[in-house]
Amino acid sequence: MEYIIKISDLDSEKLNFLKNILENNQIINIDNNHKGEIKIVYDVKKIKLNEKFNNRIELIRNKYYRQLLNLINYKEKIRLTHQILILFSIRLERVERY
Amino acid sequence: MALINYIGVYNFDNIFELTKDEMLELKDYMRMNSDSEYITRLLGVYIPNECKDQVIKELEPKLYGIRLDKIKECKNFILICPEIIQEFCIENYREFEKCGIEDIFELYTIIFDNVLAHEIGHGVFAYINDADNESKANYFASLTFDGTFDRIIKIMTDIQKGSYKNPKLIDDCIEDIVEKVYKIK
Repeated sequence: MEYIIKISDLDSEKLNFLKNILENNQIINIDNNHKGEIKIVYDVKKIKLNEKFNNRIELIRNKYYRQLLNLINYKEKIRLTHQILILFSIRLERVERY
Repeated sequence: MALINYIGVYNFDNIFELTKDEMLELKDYMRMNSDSEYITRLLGVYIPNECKDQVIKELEPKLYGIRLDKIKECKNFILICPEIIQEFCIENYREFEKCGIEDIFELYTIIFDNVLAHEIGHGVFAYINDADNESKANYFASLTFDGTFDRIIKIMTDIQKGSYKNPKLIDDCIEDIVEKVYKIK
């Protein structure tokens, strides 16, 4: 199985999907030879993580993905703000014309 | 959104604790792959698939049975040594006192988590081949703990020297992080 992440299209849904793959599967290969894309080849999980580290790893993974999610949400906010500003400037232009 | 041009992908199969004796078997491997004193790198180590065979060969005189079999079945794995971490904490406790660390046990817990996050950081960014691996791993540790342990990481990397020096941390200048950690210029 493989999953290709296009960084520019990354959103919270895709990020959660990726997190799910990493939690529940075995990574076979990661290929980043194509600019802006990461191809992850994975398979059914065969190796069980040493139990002593289960909670720690889950905690670290969750924290990291929370940070990434914040970045993505921040990016989305900037995009929306940018769109609102464009719309606002178009309206302002029209008002000025009248 | 330069910061997510590279996304961390957790690429390790398992984590193993080794004794000091077992870990010291890796000193030749560490010397070959490091520009700093090998002992300060032996707190923990990330072993990528391409180095696996060499590491297993070096560990074989000390490690055997089910523990070795479990390592052999992994592609990428992390080795961590609580004994060396403890020694590191005892030897360098005074350096960390200024961070408000109250005793060696507290320091040990923090350093252990830091070493683990650092090694996971190697695994997370292992697919990006370049020379700034330590920067990436330290940045990952800083990111994971929301910058809480940044002062500890700074002191630790000062002690470790070599490529560990001047770690990139979450609150550092963003241009610096983008260049060193995410390689975007």
